[in-house]
Amino acid sequence: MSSITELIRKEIENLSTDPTKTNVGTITALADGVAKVEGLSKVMFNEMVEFPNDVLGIALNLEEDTVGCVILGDTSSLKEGDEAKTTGKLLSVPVGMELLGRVVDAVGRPIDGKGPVNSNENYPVEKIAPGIIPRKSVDQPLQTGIMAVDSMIPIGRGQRELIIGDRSTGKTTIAIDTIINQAKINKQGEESGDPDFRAVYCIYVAVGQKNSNVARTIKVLEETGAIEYVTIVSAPAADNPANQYLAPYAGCAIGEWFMENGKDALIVYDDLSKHAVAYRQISLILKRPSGREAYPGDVFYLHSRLLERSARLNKDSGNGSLTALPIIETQMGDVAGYIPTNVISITDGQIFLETDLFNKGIRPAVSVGLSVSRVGSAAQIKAYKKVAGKVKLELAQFRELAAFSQFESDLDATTKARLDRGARIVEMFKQGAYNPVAVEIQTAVMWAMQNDFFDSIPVNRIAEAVDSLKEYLSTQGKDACAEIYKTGKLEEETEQNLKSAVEDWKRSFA
Amino acid sequence: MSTLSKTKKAAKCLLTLSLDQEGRVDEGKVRSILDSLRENPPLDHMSLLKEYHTEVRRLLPTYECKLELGENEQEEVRTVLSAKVNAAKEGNFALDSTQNSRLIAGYKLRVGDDVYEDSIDQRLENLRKSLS
Repeated sequence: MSSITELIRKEIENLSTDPTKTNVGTITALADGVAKVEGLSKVMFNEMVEFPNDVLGIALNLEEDTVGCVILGDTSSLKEGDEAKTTGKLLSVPVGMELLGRVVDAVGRPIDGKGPVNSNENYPVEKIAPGIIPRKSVDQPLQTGIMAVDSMIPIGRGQRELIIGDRSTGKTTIAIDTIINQAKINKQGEESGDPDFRAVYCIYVAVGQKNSNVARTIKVLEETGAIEYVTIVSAPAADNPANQYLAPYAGCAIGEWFMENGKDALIVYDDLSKHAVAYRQISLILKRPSGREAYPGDVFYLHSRLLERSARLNKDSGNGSLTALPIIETQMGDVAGYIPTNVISITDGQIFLETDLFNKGIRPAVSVGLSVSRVGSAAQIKAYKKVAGKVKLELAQFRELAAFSQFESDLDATTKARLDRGARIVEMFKQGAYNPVAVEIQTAVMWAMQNDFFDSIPVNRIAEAVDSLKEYLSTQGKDACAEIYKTGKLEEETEQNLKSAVEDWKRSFA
Repeated sequence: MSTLSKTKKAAKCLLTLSLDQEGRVDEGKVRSILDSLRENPPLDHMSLLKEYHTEVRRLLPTYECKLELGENEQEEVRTVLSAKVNAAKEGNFALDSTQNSRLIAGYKLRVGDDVYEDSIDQRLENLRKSLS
């Protein structure tokens, strides 16, 4: 009891008793979550403005006589003639390790019913991206656990890799798989007690999603035990456009804290198409001039300033990183749309998912021809680089030959062999949702494929064989992969161990 | 130029004509402008008056000084604050003071759209915010 009164007494002691100076204005118009305020002559751009009943807003339009404020939260308690006050603060969100395992809204308020976030630090949601000097090139892999991605489109820590595709092609699944894999690696690393191990913390930003989808994602993360390494920033479709506009920046600020404190973080923006739509809505209500497809002129800057904040910092700047996986939804596979081309040009590559492949049962439906990682093999471990070097070319050749061979009845031996190999690789890359595979097992499976161990197995049984080999390598054949995990290399001795393990598996599989 | 822009421009001109040497709205000048508009009404008389009203309403609070005092505050506070405002703004401002029992004790001074406040009400509000 005395400690409670002591707490309040301390709070009173710490309160400033100096006179305050505020700049005030009056609401002259209020519509669609935007208030026009007269006065506020000293308000700054992006400054938080306080309205009655603790409602906050942000000054987004500074005009000659009025200020356009976007209201964060419920506007029903506000009316014309109400007073608005400047706060002298930029919008900021709580950051730190305390946010892991929590679900927060666009301004960092917890919405998961687990009580307040006990964070001592706040970061502004809008911040200038790191410059050239503190940056370093991407050289450390970020394993997604998805074979098709890790082998052909490797992602590095600090990279921005776009996930793009039509609706229901598995975009979110790729992002969630990556998060689950980070949690798996984190747990393994923490158990190993390796002092050099660097955990990857994740932030999942849901913009304009259905609440049911967000709830499903949270459930998956909880069931897989990944939630303890994840912060979810949710601005669902039911939220006002201001919150949807701010959520990615708030998530980025949370991620930046990890990066600036020498840690690695991964942020998923799901999705930036809806983010652009929310920004368009705000801009139109603020009566800003509209351009192509009614988006405002600064829609490119909207995404470039967000994605540029993801970086790999050099040792002098703490060696942290923030990897971004933005998601863009295309319409009818059109990657040449306004927002898709903008984000493609900002990011360091894209994973393109095709509806046709998805419907054929090839999942993840990664289009080999249209997907690319501009960081390339710099973000792969040496062992994987050795076995996966040719696979993208082989698969691209297979897709081309497969289309061509539909009209040919008699094929030469080389073409037949390429088609055969391609069909097997396609089967090998098939992978179930929320089931990421460790990189050493991926390397071993790929090595088995490159060394013709799957050639005698019929194509329709390859997926089954790959699953069986993965299971074998994670149980009985664990030792064969242990060396790859430890050194990241594929030495002659390791290959010998791998060979005997795969031969053992093959005998049992046959 | 659209009709609305022309009206706005005309209203701004009228506002300029309504100002005294110190840049404040002069009541006498406003009256004479309204009289002349009534005698020679322009085509857009109504909209011009509305725009003129908006312009004047916008400018007036920028130099208006309003002082709210708590229930038991003395004349001394008003005199001190009046002297300080006049010194800071280099002018002769008459503080329009009223009593506001909500403040409990202290004062709230509004100069243009700046508000200076040192009252019990404000301290209680700060305490409420810090504890919520």
